[in-house]
Amino acid sequence: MREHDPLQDFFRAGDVPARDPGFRLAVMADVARRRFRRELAERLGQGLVVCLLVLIMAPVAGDVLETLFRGGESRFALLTLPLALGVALIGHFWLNGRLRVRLPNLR
Amino acid sequence: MQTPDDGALVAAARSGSDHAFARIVDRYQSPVRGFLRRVSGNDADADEIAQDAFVDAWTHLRSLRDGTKLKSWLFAIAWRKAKARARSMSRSRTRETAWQALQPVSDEPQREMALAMQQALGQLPEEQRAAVALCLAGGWSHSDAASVLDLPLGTVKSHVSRGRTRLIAILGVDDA
Repeated sequence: MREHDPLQDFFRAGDVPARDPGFRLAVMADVARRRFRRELAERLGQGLVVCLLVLIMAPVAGDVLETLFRGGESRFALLTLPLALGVALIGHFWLNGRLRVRLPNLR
Repeated sequence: MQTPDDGALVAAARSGSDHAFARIVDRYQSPVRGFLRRVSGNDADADEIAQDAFVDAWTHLRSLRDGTKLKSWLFAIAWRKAKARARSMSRSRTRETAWQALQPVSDEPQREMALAMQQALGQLPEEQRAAVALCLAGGWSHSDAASVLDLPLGTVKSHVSRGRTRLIAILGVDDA
């Protein structure tokens, strides 16, 4: 049985330190950058989908609004505007899941 | 305080904990970088590949079905990246290795031994170097190394045995 492998001394001489906070920080900074790019791309995609939907729905929405506002029926208008705002906000939260871009959480 | 195992860290990192992923990096940075330094022969290149490998691991963490296989999975990513880098950088590396050979040898015995080993490893073929780095330097079993390197078990055994003989000859050490 081999008692001491002479190659081990050479291998151990080239070992990397067990702790290297600098390396960890560099990796986590890269992770944060990649996450930011990914979320940005997702949001741009979602924004594009919303724009397309608005473009598709625009003629129909125009007709509906014209009907509601016709003849000074302001009660409908007053109800419609907060309702639309509410739907837009719910859509925003549904699409994004949260309000802001998540920064690295190292706690 | 109990140290969480790989499975628990992977599960936490998958659910969005950067702290868990940072612990994975802390746990495996040393062996992964050590392996890559031995394989690539250039410390700066190796650290860059390692950083890239960890970021790739974070990106594809969901594809790791069994968290307990994290170590092999990380090394396999690192090995694939090292091979890809070797193909794209072979010319510049040859120039850099030649430049490194001209540098004065350090007085520090440890550094001198590390450099001698790096130069000796540089004379082995790439797969043989990787097998030696895993099995002889890292203490991996032949079968685990075969799975990481995606090579048949017999090939790995032969790489390790031939690599060892060659390193001993190059370094001029006595085989105990």
